[in-house]
Amino acid sequence: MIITKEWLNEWINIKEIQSEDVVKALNSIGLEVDSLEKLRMPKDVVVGQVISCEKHPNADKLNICQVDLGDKVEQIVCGAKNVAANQMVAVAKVGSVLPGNIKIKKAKLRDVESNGMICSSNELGLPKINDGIMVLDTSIGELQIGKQLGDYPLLNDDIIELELTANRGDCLSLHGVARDLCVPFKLDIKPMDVKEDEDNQLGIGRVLNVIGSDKIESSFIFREFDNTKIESNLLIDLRVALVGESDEDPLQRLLTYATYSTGVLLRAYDSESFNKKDDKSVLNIVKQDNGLETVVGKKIVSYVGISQEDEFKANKDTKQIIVEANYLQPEVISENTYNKKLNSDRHLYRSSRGSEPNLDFGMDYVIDLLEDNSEIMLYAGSQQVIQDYFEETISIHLDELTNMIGEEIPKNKIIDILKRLGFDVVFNHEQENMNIRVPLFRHDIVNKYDICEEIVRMVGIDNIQSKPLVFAEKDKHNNAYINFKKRQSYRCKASQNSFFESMHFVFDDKSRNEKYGLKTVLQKLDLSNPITSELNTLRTSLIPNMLESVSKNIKYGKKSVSLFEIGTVFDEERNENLKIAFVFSGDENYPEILNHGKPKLICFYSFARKISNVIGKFDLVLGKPNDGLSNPYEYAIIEKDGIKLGIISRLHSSVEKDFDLYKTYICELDFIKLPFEKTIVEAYSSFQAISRDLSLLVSKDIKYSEISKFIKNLNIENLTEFNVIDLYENKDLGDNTSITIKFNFQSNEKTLVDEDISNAIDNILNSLKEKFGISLR
Amino acid sequence: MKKIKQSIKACESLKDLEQLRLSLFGKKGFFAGQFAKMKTLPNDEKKEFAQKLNSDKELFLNLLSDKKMILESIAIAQEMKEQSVDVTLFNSTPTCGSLHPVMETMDKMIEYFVSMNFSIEEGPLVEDDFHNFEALNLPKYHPARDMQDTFYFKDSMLLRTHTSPVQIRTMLKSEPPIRVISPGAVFRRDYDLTHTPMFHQIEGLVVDKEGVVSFANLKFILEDFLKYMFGEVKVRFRPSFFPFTEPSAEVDISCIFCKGKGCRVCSHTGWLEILGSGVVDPNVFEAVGYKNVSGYAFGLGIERVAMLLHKIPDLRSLFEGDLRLLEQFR
Repeated sequence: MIITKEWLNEWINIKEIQSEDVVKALNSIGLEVDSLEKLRMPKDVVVGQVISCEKHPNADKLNICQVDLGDKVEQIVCGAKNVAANQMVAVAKVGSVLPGNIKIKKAKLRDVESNGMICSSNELGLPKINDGIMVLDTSIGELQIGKQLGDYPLLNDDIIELELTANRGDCLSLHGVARDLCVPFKLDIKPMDVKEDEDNQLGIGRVLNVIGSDKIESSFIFREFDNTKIESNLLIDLRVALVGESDEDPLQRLLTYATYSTGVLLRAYDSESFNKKDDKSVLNIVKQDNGLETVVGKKIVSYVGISQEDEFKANKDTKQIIVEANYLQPEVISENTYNKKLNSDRHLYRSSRGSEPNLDFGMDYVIDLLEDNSEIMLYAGSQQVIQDYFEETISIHLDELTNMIGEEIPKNKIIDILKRLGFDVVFNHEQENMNIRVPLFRHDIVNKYDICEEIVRMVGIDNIQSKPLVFAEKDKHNNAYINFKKRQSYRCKASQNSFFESMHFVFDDKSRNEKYGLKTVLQKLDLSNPITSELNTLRTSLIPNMLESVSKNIKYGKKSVSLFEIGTVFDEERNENLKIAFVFSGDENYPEILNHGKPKLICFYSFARKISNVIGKFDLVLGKPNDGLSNPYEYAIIEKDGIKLGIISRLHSSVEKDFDLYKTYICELDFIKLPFEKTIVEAYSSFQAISRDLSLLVSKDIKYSEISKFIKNLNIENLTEFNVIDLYENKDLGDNTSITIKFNFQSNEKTLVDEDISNAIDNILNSLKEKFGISLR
Repeated sequence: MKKIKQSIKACESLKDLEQLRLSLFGKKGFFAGQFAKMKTLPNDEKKEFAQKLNSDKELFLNLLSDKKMILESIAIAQEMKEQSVDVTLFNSTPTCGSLHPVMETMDKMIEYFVSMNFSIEEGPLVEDDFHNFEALNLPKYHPARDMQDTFYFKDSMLLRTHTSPVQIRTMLKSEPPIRVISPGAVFRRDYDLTHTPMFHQIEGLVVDKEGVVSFANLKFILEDFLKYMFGEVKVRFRPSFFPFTEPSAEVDISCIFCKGKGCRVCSHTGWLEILGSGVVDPNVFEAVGYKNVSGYAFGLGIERVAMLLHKIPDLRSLFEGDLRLLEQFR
């Protein structure tokens, strides 16, 4: 909603108040100001009168004008089509500077001298009102030849753009905003001086017959006139252009202006749109089967509050014109238009938020505008269909207000605020109770909390003293809190182990998921209005979006990219699961002295090491990938205490290629299944530990997991731990691999001696030989 | 004797010193020879000779041991010098990862409210119309639904447009007094330079008996919270409109970049819009079957706060795992 200070001044006397203070007041009463702009006319742009206007001898499109500037007459060449003798125009004198730093100099146009420029509205920084020059008229004040345009307040206005909330339809007019401003400035709204209709007119009953069906809920006033000539004026044109509602037709501009000023919705029809009976236009107001209320002539001519059929619209050339002011409650409009795909015009924005129900006010205003600017012959009186709308009455006790606000507001202040806002207040002094009648234009006020809000915003929230709330202690350590701490703990561990935390949309590309054989949300449960085709479904894995980010980072030149994310993914049935995922691509480290500038590429073992640093010890179980992201040759299921947590794998080489990645590893786990328990310390030995490294020749057919399981089951006394510490392959070894295992021995009872160890080692070696044919290298 | 003293003094390495020691005290050394001589001496001279020899022996042993200590410390110093590195060659850029600034900001907020005795509640991302709109006083045809462009599913479920449905779920499953926050992801159908279809919010709800919770209480906690987050800033409340609160207020802080003087970030207003809040609308309480209660609620976007706190220039980079950004948070 755009308003200007001078326009507001039609309804409230704020001439003496600085615009900055108006902005401050608007913000503090809840009418949020987006911007304040001060339009100022450039210096040495003056009122001039075109004395004569002749065609340029050497140029078809140029005119040579003699323009009276008060102190002298200047010759100015002007290219506008609409320039004509006797016009009052805005002239930028030689030496003036127009917006955009355009300097006006003496010039010769096709050999003809030109001393100045006749300006269009937007050349002066005003809104564009036409394709030619701006012709001045007295709507901006008395025109004195030679007077600076900077001395006309109406052309040097301060423009304020408001961002109104959806409940404040009553402030979609200058009159409505002015009414709210009456409270902070302690002013009264200026009444409109209604002109008496002239006598010797024909009554409207001669030409118009309105028939309202009894089912309708909307109200109307109609007036009719014979049109000789309809014109608007400069001020109206500028203001209508300023609010972005410019129209070729002056009648539409007048209607728009009146609606902006008063908030009343106005339409104009060609009386030819209606059926005639006894020389009268017959106009039916009908509720259609779909609930929409319509004005019907030969066909439906308009939908109340929604739209008007173009072919029945009156314009400046229409001979006989019917003007309509209408109102329908916003709740009804919203309900009626919900889910119906209707063509609507600018009326719907107002009507669905609540237009001004005082139809007389809007009708009187627009008729005044027409009579002031046009030549029309008005029929006396009006035809009306008026509903008796229910006006809400709210009863509230002062203590209730005090409790809601947390502070006592003096009752006189409360009454003053409500009255200035247009409420009727009856105060019962004995019971400190108020009965408040809500005006129809405040459809947003339905209960005492709404009344409280009116008081709070007018008192100013900043003027209410803050108070801490006394609250009974209550245990706050619920599951969500524990989950929060768990996430924090895992996130910290992941970031300490070289992973960067990422955050991606829960959306995903369905065709991509299908391509990689990932689950997708069932068609019948999927998004019905995705925002783009790349984000047209919900993710079922965190990995694809992360790969895309890894790919972007590699394009930026990163050689090593590692991300982790904790986030919600969905299954086919759209159930939500929390997952944690890790992706590592490229070099394991950054180049540095330690690796002689040649860091190794990430490998399964170093990736898995990082994962174990984050989630603790786990078991790797062989399995087959369920989707096309994993490389089946470097793939395992991660288990902990026999519970499957998720998968760890090298990324499938084709996916690496698709995303332009280096060698990449992925891991995705069920976050909920990850442990978050306190550590219980086991008894530990006070005797020295001894270790032995054995290099074994193992056939390539045997998986190490078989060997380790076998050794575990041997239950070797004092064997606390054994791990593979090296691998060696060589042609000489044939189909064997040399695996070096470090065995750790420790007793809780004594210091072990060589004999203990060699017995244990012999036992292991003999058993391995017997079972797998494994021997020492 | 003097010659021996000098040769000890002149010794330059532990190896030479050891050789000298052997030449003096070895089986065939100087002192062995001297003691052997003793056999040939007359008895009355033996005592004096032995005393002299023993005192010389002691003297040289001391000289040797002193020299050894000196040479050893020189050798250690030499060894350390040889193993020395140019410590200035070290590149101190960390090689660990980092936490995401939005998640970190969310943690910081949660920590404030937990310390103020709020508990945390979570809810599903896929919601129904009742929890996301209807119960929050947003009936189907309400124009305020325009404010929240919604993602719908084919079965008419939707992605929550705010964290407020968690309020409804919390009130439906528990009795007042309530003091909760609900952080999490929310979704709006909007995607441009300053909007992403997913972002994060944190929402607060306090409910107690009628007449207990007031607007003044809401003001208190928000002023305190904003000072905790942003340091010494001015806080401004502007009346506003949300369907689920009444009265409602938008809360601004004085611009943290220009200290309220006006700059590009605050669009030259001196103020930054930070959160929405208000007294819970009675229709919301009615929807969950609460009677005779009072309460307040507030909510704010986490990305916006994180961007302000860390001067992050680009909203989208937050969702792209961009290491150029994340590396700065190590």
